[in-house]
Amino acid sequence: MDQLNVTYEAIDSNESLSDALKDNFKYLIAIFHQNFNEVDLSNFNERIKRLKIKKGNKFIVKDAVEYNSKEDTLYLNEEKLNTVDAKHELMYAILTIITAKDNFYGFDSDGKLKALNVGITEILTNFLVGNESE
Amino acid sequence: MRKQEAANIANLVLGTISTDKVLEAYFTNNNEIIIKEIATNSKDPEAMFRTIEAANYEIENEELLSKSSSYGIIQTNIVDNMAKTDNLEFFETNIINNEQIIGESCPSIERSSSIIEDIKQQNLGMEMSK
Repeated sequence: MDQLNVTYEAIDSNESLSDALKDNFKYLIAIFHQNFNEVDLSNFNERIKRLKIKKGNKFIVKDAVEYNSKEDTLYLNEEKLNTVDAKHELMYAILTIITAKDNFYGFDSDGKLKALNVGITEILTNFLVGNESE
Repeated sequence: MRKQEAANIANLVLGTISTDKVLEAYFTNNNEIIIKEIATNSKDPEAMFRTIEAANYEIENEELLSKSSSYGIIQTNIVDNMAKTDNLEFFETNIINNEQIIGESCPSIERSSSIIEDIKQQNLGMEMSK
């Protein structure tokens, strides 16, 4: 079985995700894999199996979608979500899940490169799916 | 600082180090790769690190003003970085006095208010001594 099918199975195994959201995850992870097929998705596979979706307090969840790697939870700011490109936001979140480790993602292990990490994630997201809200 | 502004900073850094190295650092959770690349490849590493630090400060302050749950960070930032009258007034007006943000979830509010008073006194003392 190729890596993408393993990922699809992991997504399908999470019963707390709606079918529509599973389809969105599959669509976006396929785009990612098409462009970065050398990146190992095993971290994403393990996390997506137990991923929870919760509404976030708008004062705490600043972005439309935020992934908390400690809780393995995707927090949604519904008010903000209506004003942005949801595909872009979900792809951004997927990148944070793929690269999640402990309580950080990407290379922001100690806060020294925080803004750079956000910027690189944004660049990658734009490259993969664009941003229709801009 | 919005994500797009952070992306502009990242583009600046990408101009000095290879994209492959950035991607390697990103997908292996290894910031040492980037720090080493900037130190060895940038024409002016110190200026680059100062830019990165300034960007971090911007992005952290944005979170500071929008995340009421980070109350400890708010206190720390005020004491460490924002001990200026303007910021204190902003903090009091927009955060401390906004029950919608702080509500009853913040039992340390009285202690925090006293910290702010202390800082105000210190600022006043500094201005008087000028």
